[in-house]
Amino acid sequence: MKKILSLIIGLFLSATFFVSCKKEAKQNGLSNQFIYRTTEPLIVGQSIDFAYGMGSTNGPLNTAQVIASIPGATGTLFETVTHRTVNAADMTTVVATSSTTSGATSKATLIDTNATTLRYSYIIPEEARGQEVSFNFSVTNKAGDEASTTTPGYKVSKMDMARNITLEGTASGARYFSIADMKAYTQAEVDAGNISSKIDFIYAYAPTITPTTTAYTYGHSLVSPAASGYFPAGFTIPSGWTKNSTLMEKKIGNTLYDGQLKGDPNISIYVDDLDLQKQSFDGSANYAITLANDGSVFMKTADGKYTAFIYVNKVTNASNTAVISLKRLQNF
Amino acid sequence: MKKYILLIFLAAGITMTISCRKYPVDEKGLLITDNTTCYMSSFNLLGSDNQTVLVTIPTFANGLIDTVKGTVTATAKFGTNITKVKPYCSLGANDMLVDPFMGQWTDFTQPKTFTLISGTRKIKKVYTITVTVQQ
Repeated sequence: MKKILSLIIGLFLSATFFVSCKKEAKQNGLSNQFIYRTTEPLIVGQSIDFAYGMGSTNGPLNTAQVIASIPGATGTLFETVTHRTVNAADMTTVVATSSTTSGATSKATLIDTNATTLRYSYIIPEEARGQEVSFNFSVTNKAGDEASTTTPGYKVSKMDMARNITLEGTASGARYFSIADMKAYTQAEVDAGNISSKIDFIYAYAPTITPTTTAYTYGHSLVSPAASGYFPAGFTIPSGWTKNSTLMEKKIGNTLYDGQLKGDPNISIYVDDLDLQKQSFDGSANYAITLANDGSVFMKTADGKYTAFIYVNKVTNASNTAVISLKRLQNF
Repeated sequence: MKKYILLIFLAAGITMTISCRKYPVDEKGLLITDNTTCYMSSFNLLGSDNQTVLVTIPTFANGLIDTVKGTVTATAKFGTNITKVKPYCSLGANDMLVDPFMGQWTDFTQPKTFTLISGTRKIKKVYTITVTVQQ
């Protein structure tokens, strides 16, 4: 009986040992593994970040390489340092002598080490807009062994993003905004360029507005050029200008955030292509008044060409300013 | 002994009869109850940002809801897009119904009527809701 029991236990332990010792991606004394570090929507001009871990049991590592399915934009590179955390502080150690990118291939030459992790940052190029991009990582050691691993495909958004644009609500300030250009203009610039047809909304600030006899709260507001009843006292649009009517759906920070536009990596809530495609503007107004920090507005341009999500990073009463960020999708 | 067994069966029978009493359901599968309560206790309108657009929330207590006349009078803040707001209300009882459903985008440029229906489905009361925007 004892013998049988010992046999069963022995068998069980051996099975456990073999199962637990199963090694992934180990090839010729080399192991490699990647971690996809990006949680945000992938937008042209932004980065896709990886950590690439390598280990050799057959001598020191030699080179790390990654080939992207679409060549990255300027700035695509392996870091030459490896990161670790000591008492909550990020510490780095140099582990590569060189890091180069040529076309779709990025390469790092490693210093005398048997195991390390390198970060790879891929800057999303214009060519990848709306496309899937994947990466083939590989590592060699000085004994000539090679190991590689390929990522799944990652879909790049079609939308654009611009952050931290300051709007100034004074007469000479940059308060005329073009969603097509993702830029704020002054009145002089609009006149000089004859671009009033490109102006989708105007930023205005006043504590109150008095449409007839009673004063009501107004605050920081984004108003279509056509919404003449919603500008503060003394504000007029030049008569010769095109007065676009931009559809607007006001939102508020406690119901909708965007971690990328807010610049806060701890907020893993994002507006993506789908949100802009699905946003309905049936019965929408053409103004959004009393906006505050973290407020936001979905907008659709008068010609229907763009849908945008405008996020209010910060408003300042004293300086008559608002800092906004936006994501924008071209519909046709 | 026989007497006790008979009593136990009798008690079980009564319990089963009471517990198995079934309330009827309406065409939407909702229970029709004995409750005759039928009034609106408060009313609210939300904008696209999910915030109230009303200056004051109408209630029975503040007189902006008249349960006798069946009227609700509300004032929306300046700038409210009154063509696209979502109405909500509190009812006098949990088993009441509102027809048409609230909580959908509604145009309140003209007064809107909603019918409140009691749990019994036998009492119906029409409320007319009028909203004016600060001008």
